[in-house]
Amino acid sequence: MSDLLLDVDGLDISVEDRLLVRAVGLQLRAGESVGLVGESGSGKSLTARALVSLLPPGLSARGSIRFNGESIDPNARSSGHRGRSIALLMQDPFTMLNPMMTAGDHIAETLRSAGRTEGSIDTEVARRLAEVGITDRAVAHRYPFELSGGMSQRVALAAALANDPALLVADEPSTALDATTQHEVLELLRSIQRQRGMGLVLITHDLRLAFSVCDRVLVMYAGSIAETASSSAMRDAPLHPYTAGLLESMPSVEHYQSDLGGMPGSVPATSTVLDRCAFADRCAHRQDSCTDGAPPLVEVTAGRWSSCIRSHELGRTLAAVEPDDERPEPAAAADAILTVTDLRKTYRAKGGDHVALGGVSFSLAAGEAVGIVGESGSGKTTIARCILGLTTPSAGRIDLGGIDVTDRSALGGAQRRDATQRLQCVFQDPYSTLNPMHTVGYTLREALAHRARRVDDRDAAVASLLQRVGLASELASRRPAALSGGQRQRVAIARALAMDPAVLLCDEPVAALDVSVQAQVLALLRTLHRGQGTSLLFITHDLGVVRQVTDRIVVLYRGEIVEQGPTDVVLDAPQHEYTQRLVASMPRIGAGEPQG
Amino acid sequence: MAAAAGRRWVTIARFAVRRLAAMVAILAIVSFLVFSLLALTPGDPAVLLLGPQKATPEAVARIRAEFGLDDPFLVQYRDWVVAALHGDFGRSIRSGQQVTDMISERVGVTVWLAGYAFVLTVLIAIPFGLVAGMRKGRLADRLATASSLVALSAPTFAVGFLLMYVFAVQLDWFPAFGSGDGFLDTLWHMTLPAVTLAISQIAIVLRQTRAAAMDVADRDYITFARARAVPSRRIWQRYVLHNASLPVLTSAGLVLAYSLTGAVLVENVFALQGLGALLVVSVAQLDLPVVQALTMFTALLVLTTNLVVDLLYFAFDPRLRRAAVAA
Repeated sequence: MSDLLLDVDGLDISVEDRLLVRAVGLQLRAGESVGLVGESGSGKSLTARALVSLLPPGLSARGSIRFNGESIDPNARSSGHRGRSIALLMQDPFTMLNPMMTAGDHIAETLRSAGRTEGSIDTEVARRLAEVGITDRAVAHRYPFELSGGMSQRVALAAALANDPALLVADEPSTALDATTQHEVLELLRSIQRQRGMGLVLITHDLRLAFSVCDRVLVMYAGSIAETASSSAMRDAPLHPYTAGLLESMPSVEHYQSDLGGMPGSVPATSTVLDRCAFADRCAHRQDSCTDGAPPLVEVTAGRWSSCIRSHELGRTLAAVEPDDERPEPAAAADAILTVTDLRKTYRAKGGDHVALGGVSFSLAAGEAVGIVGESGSGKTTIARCILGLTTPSAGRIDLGGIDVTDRSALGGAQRRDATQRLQCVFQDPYSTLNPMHTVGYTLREALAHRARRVDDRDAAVASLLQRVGLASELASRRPAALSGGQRQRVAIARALAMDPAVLLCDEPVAALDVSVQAQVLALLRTLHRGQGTSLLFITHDLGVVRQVTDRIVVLYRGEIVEQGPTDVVLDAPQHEYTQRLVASMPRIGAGEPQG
Repeated sequence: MAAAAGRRWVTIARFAVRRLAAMVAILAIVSFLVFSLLALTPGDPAVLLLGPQKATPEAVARIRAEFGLDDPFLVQYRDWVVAALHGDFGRSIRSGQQVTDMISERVGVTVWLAGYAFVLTVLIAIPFGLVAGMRKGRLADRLATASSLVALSAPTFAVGFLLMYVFAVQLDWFPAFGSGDGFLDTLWHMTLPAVTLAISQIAIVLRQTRAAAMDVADRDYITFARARAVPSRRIWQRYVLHNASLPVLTSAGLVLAYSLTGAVLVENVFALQGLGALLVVSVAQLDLPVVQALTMFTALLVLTTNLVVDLLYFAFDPRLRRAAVAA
């Protein structure tokens, strides 16, 4: 017998005969917090679901899960331990709560299922809400659609904790939230976990976040565990090349990196790499022996496990180097190619007008990269829509290289074509911006056809576009379904480049991508900007991304610019209270030793 | 909270009043169209109204006077509306009976049949639809989907005759015709017709319910509720049924309105003297006063059902309640 709260051993999860998660082991003591980190396809969320016996239909698990010494059947349909001693918190606060029930009802029903008597429920609901920082009693009577994302996530947390579980499994609990809210929710989660002495399994794609919240971290790759160590040990010296790659791939908020890292390729399906090191194809330290068999997870030093057969010899060479790289001098001041003056946009809404933009002015010089930073509701997407001509501003002026594009419908045909040619856009979701019925080549040829200057040899032009975005020309014959997320986003960028635009407007172009792929796409955008002189207008919520790609930033808050200036200056010494809060809310590698 | 709840009731009442006003407007339009039927029917309306009796010049003159056929059209319409508002739709051309009396004699059978079929529909279609949607692709779903397809494609009169043959003629469990006296006897008499009518309605509502439940089935809030060990009974009621309720209400309201206006085929097969049978006979005999009255009655029933469904939306969906307050 041990003092382990949770002991998972040899957990396999499969759909039909296809293995999705392989031989996962996980030990957790009471009151301990463990981060389960990985990219999409790593199997981290399935592992979490197996712990609460809530695998999606069609999936089944094998292996042993022991909770407080008792065995749990991950395939069980009935509740058992779930809910009573193990709770689950999910990602999206807007879909996790029943839209037909009030916040208080959610907590009350969990209390009832834990056997509370009816008389004490109301006061208990209020107490539980207070525990998650909600003291306004009226919130209990509100419906989920009347709550903000952060508020909903707090209510969900209170509902999940209403049974007083000994273990909380939190699956990306802050990913869907804005940066400052994210920070608050994580702080709350951490303090409640400490106060209650509760075990925590935190599922996340963000290694920095796991380091800042958890005692120990498990890194998963393609369905199995790559590395396990304490947060501090892993942060200082990762033992697995994949962990090191993940650390390097994360754009730093604190300083400019000349090398953005990023691993070539993308995550393979678990079932295709069962007899070899799953990471070998993307690994810079690969040897022939890496693909001879599946590498076992072995204890390299005390408490540190790695499934890399070269962990011993690679040792310190993988340690995350954090060079404070010098940012190359920005290009000499040039004329503005895009000028936005006093831009205003008001939407008519029930119960009064909603001001989305309250007078925003900024400019983008030729060859410059400017970031527009803000959270949801800041108006950054409205700016993009106005500039693209998808919506007409209520007031103000947008000048694009001498053309007044404020109201596109007022432009003549030739001018409108000219404006379209000068400004192209890359959108967030590469899965929905490409027509699934068209091959990559067709999509690009179609874009080339709209170019003002005639392109004689379109096939050659397609090949050169693909080459510019780092894709092989054979991809021209594929359809989007056959491409990975990163490849799709490259195609979307190539399509924008086909028009030979002066300005590339990027609306959260990497937000939907995995960390390792994100770094590749950021590197590409940087090359386009630095090497080929394309001006970038970069809209994002991610300060790390903005630090790496832009020269100047504009910080937007509730439809107004609160601060703007050179990227390094604003991020190193934010002046406005909101910018300070935003910068402080970013999980970082250097700081934030988990106390405890 | 009390103030907010009060405000909510006021806005919902205001909504109901607005909808009632709209109903009156629609009824006015329908009444105009219905009245125009008489003018639009080819031939002399007096001869038409005289029916099979001999159209002697005296008779025609009497009819013209009685129906005011020499007045301008709009005056005739006004007179007809005023009478209709007093419950007077005139007399049947064929039987000479008061139209309102004829309808009130028949309406009982129709309401019984429609209500019985509706209860069967709700009791069977909603639970099975929910289970099918939540267990998509599994045995329960495949059975429910396949049988609803069969039920939809089987013609009502064929189903009626089949049921009658098996349960009335062969097994002699239920009577083959007649509507019975007293509650239990009526229930006994109405079972076969109600089942016949319900079969296709169940199929329609079941498919709508299944689609709505499928939409709910993979929602995070269901997983989250299971993860909190919320009892499954509550998950079915407060989570699945409640979130699926809007499309279910809509389709249930539609089938109810449809069968309230007279299930012609079913009434025919089981020789029931309901509104459907009356409508068929009246149309065939060009008994215009009866047709006019029945059409108005039908419009009123459909509009009322819709209003009730819309008000139930408010009862079920808090988002609509709040939107009503904001508006």
